[in-house]
Amino acid sequence: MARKLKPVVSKKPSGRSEYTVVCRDVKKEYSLGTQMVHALRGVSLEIKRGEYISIMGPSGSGKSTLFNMIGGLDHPSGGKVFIDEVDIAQLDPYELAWLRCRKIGYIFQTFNLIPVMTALENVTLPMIFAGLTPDDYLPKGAAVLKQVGLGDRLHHKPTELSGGQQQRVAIARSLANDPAIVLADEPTGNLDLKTGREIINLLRTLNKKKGVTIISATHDLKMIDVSDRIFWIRDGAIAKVEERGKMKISVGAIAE
Amino acid sequence: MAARAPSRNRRIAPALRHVPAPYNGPERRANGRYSLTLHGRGTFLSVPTRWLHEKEAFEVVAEDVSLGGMQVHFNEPVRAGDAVRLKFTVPGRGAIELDTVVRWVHREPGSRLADTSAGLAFNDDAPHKDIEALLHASDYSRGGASSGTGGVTAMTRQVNLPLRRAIEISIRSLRIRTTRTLATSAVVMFAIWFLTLMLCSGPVSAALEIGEIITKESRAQDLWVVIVSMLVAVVGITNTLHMSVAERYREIGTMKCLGALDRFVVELFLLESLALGAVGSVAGAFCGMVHAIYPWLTRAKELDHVALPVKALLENFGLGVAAGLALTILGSLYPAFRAARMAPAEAMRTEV
Repeated sequence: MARKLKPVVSKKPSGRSEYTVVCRDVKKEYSLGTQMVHALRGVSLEIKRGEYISIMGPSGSGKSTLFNMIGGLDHPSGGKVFIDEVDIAQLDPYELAWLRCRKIGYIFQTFNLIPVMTALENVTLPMIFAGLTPDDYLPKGAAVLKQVGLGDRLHHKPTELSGGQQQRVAIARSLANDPAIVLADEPTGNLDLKTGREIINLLRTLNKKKGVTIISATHDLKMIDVSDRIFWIRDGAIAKVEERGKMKISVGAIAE
Repeated sequence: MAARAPSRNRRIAPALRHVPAPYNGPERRANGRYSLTLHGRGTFLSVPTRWLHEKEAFEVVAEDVSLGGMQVHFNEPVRAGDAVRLKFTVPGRGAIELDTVVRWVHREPGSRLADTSAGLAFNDDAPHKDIEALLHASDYSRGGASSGTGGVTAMTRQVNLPLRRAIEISIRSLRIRTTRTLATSAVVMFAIWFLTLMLCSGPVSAALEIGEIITKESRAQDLWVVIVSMLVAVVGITNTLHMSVAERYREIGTMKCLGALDRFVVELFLLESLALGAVGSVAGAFCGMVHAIYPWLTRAKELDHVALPVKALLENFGLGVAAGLALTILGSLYPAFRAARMAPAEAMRTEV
């Protein structure tokens, strides 16, 4: 090959950004009858790899809408969302499905487990979508469930599990394909105080141990203690951003 | 791009003349090799001599990249000397297009076309920056896939699940919803029972001549009964199927969050409804036909020379099954398609 090319100088990509999620002026409008509802009025934010972020705000402030935008679960009316520098509006359906399958794990307030499937079946479903064979996904699914403390509940259906256990299954499912980002929408919303605290600790542990970026929309003040940064949302816009260590709010000790 | 096409073909010509013979010696690659897995699309630039048309895009999977070229897996019958344009999506750079020439093609003996691997050399005028971006993508794909600790993975495309998997999943979800499945199947069965009974009783009573004199009015009435029974089947089946899919909108949204393709969701629901529709329609059509023959059976002794209109009965049986299948598919296709097209968030908040 007669080529006049300079050898590659840097093996490592030099321009790789430290930000994993970047939102630029994201807007979302819904039409409710004749009325236009502005759920998001231009939100810009940057989230670094490995951060634990809480998006806080009262009900109806646009938390969940922002969550859906970051997760590629809904189309913004304006602005752009970048995941690892890729504008997700540019992705075709195949790439979008790939993104949801392997890059992002989702946790919901209502757990959203498939009611007719056992814990193990729920956790292995995304692995099936990722093209794993039963030989690979069955042990992996069991291992992930063990990791969230449900090693003895593999074959229970969601109805046979408590709320906290169901949310653990949901967390295990979100981790199925080793995502870089876990998005949690009110993960403690349907749980009592103690269980909620356990779930928060679990998320924090995963964040620390596996380096997963965790972004959680919540109005649970227990989250404050573990978050690296908190975005306060009000009326569809970021009211303020707080960093850990600069906050004075105390809601009891959370053992880490 | 299109304006440059003629000169491009001329430029490729020398490459075509100098296709090297297959080489099995030691490594003689001029540049270091980076391994990665990157899905992209390719199109033929040279005039294809096969069944594949120029500009028809096909999937490629790149494995190794160096500054000089890359190893790629094809689904298409490439040959050494072909000019191929490759397109990849790389984080931070978006779509990259590179023009290449096929230098060697390797096929495992006895393998299908799908297992073709080929070495593609980048054209001399391929932008150096783009090639470097691909090399970086190799870093991304290594860093992300194994560690899962927030390393970037090159954006690839979600694969379609094989049909066998879809069938497995849909059978499983039918079995775990036994009651729901049976109830939906029963609705199909009764509707088709009624329809087939109405369709078949005409020929049977004509054969028995029990309707003394068949007047014009009674024939018109028979037709109306068939039409009404058809309407009952349409409304009953489509409504039931619609509801059974619609109550699973949240599930569809969740599945899409987990990485299911729209196509897969539709496929899943289609398979499910096809299975329960087939069972329901065949059972219903059979019951309806037997039901219609019943007067003939009870009066067989007194009318021993009356033959059954077998052909007409079978035709109507077939018609009943076909109507049942068509209605189940129609009834589930629309809501499944609608839900699959929605953004996941939208599907999950839709309350039925």
